[in-house]
Amino acid sequence: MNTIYRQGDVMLRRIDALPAQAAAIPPTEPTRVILAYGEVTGHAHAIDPTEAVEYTMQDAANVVRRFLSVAGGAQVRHEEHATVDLPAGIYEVIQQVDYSPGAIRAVAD
Amino acid sequence: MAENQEVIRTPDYVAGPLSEDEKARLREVAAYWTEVAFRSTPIDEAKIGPAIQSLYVASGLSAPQVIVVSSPLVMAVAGGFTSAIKQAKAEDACLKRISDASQKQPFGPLEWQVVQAVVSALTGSTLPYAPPGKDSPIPESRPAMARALAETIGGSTLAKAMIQRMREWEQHYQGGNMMAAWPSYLCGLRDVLGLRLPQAEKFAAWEACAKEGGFRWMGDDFCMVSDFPAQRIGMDASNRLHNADGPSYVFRDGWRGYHIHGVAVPALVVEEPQKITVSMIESERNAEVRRVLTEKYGAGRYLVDCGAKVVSHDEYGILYRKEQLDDEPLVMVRVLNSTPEPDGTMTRDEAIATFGPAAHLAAKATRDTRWKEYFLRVDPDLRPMRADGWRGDPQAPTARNAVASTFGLRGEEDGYAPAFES
Repeated sequence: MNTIYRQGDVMLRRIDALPAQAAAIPPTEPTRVILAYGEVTGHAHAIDPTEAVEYTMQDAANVVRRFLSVAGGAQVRHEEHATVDLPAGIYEVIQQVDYSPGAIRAVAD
Repeated sequence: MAENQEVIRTPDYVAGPLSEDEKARLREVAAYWTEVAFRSTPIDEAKIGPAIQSLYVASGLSAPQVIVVSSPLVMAVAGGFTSAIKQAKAEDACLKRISDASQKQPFGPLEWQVVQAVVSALTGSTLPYAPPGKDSPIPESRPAMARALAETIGGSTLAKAMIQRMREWEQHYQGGNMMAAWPSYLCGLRDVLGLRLPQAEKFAAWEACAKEGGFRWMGDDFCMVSDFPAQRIGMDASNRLHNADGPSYVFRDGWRGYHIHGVAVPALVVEEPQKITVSMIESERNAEVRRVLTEKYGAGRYLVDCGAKVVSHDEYGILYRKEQLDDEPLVMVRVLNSTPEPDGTMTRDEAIATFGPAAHLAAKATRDTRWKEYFLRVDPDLRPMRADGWRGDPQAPTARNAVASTFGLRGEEDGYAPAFES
C-alpha cells in the first residue's frame, strides 16, 4: 500500500515513481513551495524549496495532478498543524474536497 | 465567415462585424443601462410624468393621468383595483367606502399607499407622492392585505373582480428601468452603430420612461408608475437575487424580499437565522428553501440534532445519512481534528465520549487539551471525488471510505490509513 501523510486538508500519498510526463515547476514563492492555501486565514501548507521540487502534469483524463519529489527528507509546515516529516521519495499531492449537491430537479406536482 | 462580411454602417441599415472600438463603446452602453436597472435614487415626478405621457402619445393614445406609487406591489394592487372599479363604473361608491373606512380606523402605511393611488385615479386628482420609508412595517401576508383592502374598498360584490384584475397585473405592466436590456440593445444600435430608423423618435419616449421610472401599470386613462428601490438590489455573481445580510430588495414603503442565491426565503432566514429550528427544516416542502435553511442552521449540526441515522462509526469518524423529500440524501462524515487547538469546542474527555475509536489521537493527549470537530459532506454513494469534478465508483458506507472519498480515494482498495496526520 502507498503510505499516506495528512496535514489537515492536504494529503501526500507516496508513489513508486514520478510519471514520465510530469514537469518540474518553480516554487510558488521564493522561500516556500505552497501545497495549499487556507480559504480564509491565508495560512499555508508549505515546504522549503531546498527540500522538495513540485511537478505537475495533465493525465489522460485531462486532470491536473501534482507531485512532490523529496530528495533527502522534507518538512511540511502549517501555522495551525503539527509539522509533518516526509521521508525521501515521490508523493502525489491531493487536496481534500467537499461534496456539493447537484441542482434540484423540478418536481411535477 | 463574419470576418469576410462587408461592414455597412448607414442610418437605415447596419451589417458586418463589430470593430474593437464599437465593442468597447457597446460595453459602455451596456454598463450605463446596467446601472439604470440598479437605480436606487428616488423617482423624479417632474421627469417621469412627461415621459409616460409622451409614451402614450407616441402610441397614438391620449396622455393619461400619471400616478407615482411606492413599489411594484402597490402598482399591482392599486392598478388592479382601479381598473376593476372603473370597468364596473363604481367610482363613487368605492370612494365613499374608502372615506367611511378611514374615519373608523386609519390604514396601515402600505395599505395607505394603495388607497392613495386608487383615490388619485378615481378622482382624477393626483395626491402628492409621500412614501412612508423603507423601514415601515409591512403586513405579514400581502395576499391577505390585498383581500382585506378589496373588501373594504369594493365591498363583497366588487372585491372578487378587483383581486382577479390585480392577479392579472402581468398583462398590464411594463418593466421600466428593470427591463433595461432592450433599451440597452436599441441605444447601442443607435448611438454606436448609427442606426437611425423612423421609429427612433417613438423609441425616445420608451427610453425616457426606462430611465425615469420603474414598473408601470398601463391603464387606459391612468398610469401607475413605481418608484425605484430604496437601496441597490442585491445579486450574486450569477445575477440571481441574493443578500446574505439583509433584504435583496427593499422599496420606500417597506416592501422587501429576501433571497439566497435566487431562492426566495422567509425574512427570518436572513434576519434571525438563530431562530431556525429542526422542525422548521423538516416541515419545509420546497427542497431549495430547505437547503438554505439547512445551510444556515449548519448541515452537520442539523444531522446530529435531527437524530439522523448513523450508518457507520469507526476509527475515522461517524457517518450520518438523512433521506430528504424531493432532494438527494444528506450524507456527512463527522471527524475530529488531528491536532488539539486552544479554542477547541470539546474537552479531551468529551471528544473521546463522542468519537470513541475515532478519538485515538485525543486519547493519547493530555486531559487539558481541547479539540475541534468538523463535518465533511460526501457523495451519497461515497464516490471518490476530485476538485475537477471527477467521481469514482460507489463504495460501502463506512466513515473510512467517506474520508477517503474526500481525497479522491477508495478507503479499502487504496488502503486509506495515514501513517501520520496532523
